Amino acid sequence: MNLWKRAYLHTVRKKGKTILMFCILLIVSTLILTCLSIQSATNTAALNIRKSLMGSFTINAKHIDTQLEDYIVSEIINTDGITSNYNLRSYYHAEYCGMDGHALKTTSDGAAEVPEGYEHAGKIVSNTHSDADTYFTEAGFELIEGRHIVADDGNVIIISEALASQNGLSISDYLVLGTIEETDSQVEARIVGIFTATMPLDAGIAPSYDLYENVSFSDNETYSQLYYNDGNTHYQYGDFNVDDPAELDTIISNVKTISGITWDDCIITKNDVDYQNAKTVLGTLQSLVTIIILVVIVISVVLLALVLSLWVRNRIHETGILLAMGFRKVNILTQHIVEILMIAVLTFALSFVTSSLMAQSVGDRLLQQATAEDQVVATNLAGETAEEKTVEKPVSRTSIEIKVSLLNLLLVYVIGTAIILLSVSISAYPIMRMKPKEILTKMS
Amino acid sequence: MILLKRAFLYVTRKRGKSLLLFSIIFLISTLALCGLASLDAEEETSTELRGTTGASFTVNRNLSTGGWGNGNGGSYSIQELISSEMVEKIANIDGIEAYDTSSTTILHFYDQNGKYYECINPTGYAPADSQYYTNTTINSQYSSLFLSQTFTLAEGRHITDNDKNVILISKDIADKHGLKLGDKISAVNDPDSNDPTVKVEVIGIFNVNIDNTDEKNNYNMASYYDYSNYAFTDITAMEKLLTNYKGERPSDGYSSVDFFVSDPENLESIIIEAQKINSINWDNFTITTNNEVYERTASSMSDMSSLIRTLIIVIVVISMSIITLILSMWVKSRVQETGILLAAGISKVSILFQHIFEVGFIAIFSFPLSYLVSKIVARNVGSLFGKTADNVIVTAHHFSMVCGVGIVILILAILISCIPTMRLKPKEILSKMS
Repeated sequence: MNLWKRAYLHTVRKKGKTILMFCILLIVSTLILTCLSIQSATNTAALNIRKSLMGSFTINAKHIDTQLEDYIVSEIINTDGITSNYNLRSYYHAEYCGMDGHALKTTSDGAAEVPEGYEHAGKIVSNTHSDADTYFTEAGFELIEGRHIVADDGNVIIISEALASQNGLSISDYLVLGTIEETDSQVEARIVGIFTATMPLDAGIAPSYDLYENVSFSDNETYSQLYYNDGNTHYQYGDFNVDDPAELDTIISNVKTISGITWDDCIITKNDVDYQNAKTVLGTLQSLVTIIILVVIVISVVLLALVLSLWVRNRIHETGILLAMGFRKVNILTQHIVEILMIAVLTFALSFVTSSLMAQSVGDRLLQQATAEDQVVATNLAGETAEEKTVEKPVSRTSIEIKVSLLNLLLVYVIGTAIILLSVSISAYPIMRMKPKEILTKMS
Repeated sequence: MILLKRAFLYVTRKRGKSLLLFSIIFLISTLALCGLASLDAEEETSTELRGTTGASFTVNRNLSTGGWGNGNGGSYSIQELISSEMVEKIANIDGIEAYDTSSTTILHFYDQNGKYYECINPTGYAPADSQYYTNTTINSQYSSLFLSQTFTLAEGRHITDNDKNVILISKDIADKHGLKLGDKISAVNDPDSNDPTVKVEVIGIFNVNIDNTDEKNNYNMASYYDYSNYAFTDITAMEKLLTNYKGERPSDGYSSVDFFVSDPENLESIIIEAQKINSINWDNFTITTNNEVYERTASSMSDMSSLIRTLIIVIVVISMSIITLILSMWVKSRVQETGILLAAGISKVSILFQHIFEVGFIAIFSFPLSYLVSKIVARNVGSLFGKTADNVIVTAHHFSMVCGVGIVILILAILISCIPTMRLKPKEILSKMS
């Protein structure tokens, strides 16, 4: 009778033992596969946490002659890991004039000084998105008419309620911005919005152009025409958001390889406080998962090895008889291994199905829970925080999928087979060293 | 032969089987213990993670319900200020970690010889060049400038509510004037008046981390002061410095106080708790929540913790099923023995108890051993990952849970797997068992 037939018959005839082995192998491999799939889902969850903690960096290129130019900006936003949410800003002072060339009235009450040349001037803030400006997010400015400035705008301006009423200006009117320095260039801008300040500026030391009444918001096009007029758009500052704040340093060093700008003259500031605060604890949570998985794998391996070695040791009697019949030791050992592998190949494949089912139900449960909690947060806090809600950039989350990967299945096959080979061989070793006679005398 | 003796003999004679069962119960209960310990560690760490988002609420004076007065600086609100008793009462609510108030005063700093400390980027005009934008703080660690990491402490320590007459200064100022920890600075509010001079001790030096030149921060008065010219002092010092300014002293009350909660999940309930304090007339104050970071991250964080919890539950449930499976195999393989015992006139209940005692004998040793081993495993595996070691702790409580649930599962598994055998008559059993 050859080895394969023996192995087959043993498996079929000893139904109870086979079923026990089958169940144990199935449960252990399902456990490991499910754990591994949940672990990779926790990595996605951790990535989502990092994403929602957000990270960004600011390039201050004010001290470079050409500052940030469009082609550099587009290279930056094409860098891997940088999101499409960005803001480009410039700050300057300009004189306000009407379309007929007369200077507009500005506010000087409460100013510490009105510097020479600034009698009709104010601070102009250029933005890709004016709603993200600190005046609106921190200093309590509110748009009362019109709209905010967006990326594609050119030659538009948002002025204060005071400036509008002092000079009889309203939405869609035009005004002229002029440089204060010797160059004397001028640019027209259409009023698209009017804002009001809800909090007072701490009076005392602000020069006239910084008074809230004299501040305006414009687009980067207007700034570039006024100060460069070379057909390109220039920006003093760029704020760029990154997808994963853990990558912030790498992304910044990648950005610094972009040529055409002297990075040494730029000041790059990282903004990832929330991530830095959470980093250690998040790492602890992730290593907790790793520890759990490690413990599970080690215990499963020991459990399997134990069951397998007892399985082999219970067959001393049989081994002795087979040896006496002239079968080679290797042949008998191989028979034991083949028996178990026959069961194992089947159970490992089946465990893919069972663990996928488990992962599926875990995923469904999780999804329900997450949406339910979101709603709770939204209803609880809606009333109180609505008024001071700042402009939140949308966070793109990666959807969490709990799926058993084929790679993990392969891992289970490899590790499982290795354990079977090892523990069967090791536990068979003492028996195999003995002569048939010794075995048969010992086995009683 | 009495039941206990039968059970004992079975366990000792069938060494292989007993050893297998012992090892399996030991392994599974170790796994369950580690799982329970990790569950606690997960909860603790998740709470800590939520805490890092720094949720707080701010109590402000409600300027719309208070009246307005007129003075030389224009109109000002005469609304009630937040007294330190109120702060104390709110701070005593469970779950509030700390509180801080922020008000700023421009102070002048001098050395012990009366010479002023020139600030960074001086203008060249004497009175302006000794001006420092000074924050009065109760817990400087919770000042928004430190929380946002605009400043970080380079040397020394933060100001806490026990400190009297102390100051934090910037590294730039410390370097410029050779000031170090323990040095004394004379501070005065208005050097041209009879305001008292207070000697404050430098207890901390901070670094300025942000780009001072970025104009996005230039939207209010604070921006006219270089961050290097900021300072932080305690309420006792400020009380004395402002002794001539009724209404502005810390003892007169604060215009706004930030309360930081340790777990943002409880923010809502803590605010409700605060609003129940009767001695505070809430018509005069408003509460605003600051938990944007938490709101943004909450759903991802709860995903994370429910994933970990599920992971552990899956592990514990599967381990229980392994035990149940092996036990039922154990009982089923003994149909023959059961039949013989029944035929010998031993009652079914007695046989059942024998099985339970056998397992009990084994479990009595494997449960405590798993407690010891899992304690060691938790400690050593944890230490591979640094900080986690402090979190995963197997407690006696976990042990009692595993024992309790374990015994119930063991007994149930035996009972259930005995049902088919016990229903049969001895004759049926013996004829069947072949």
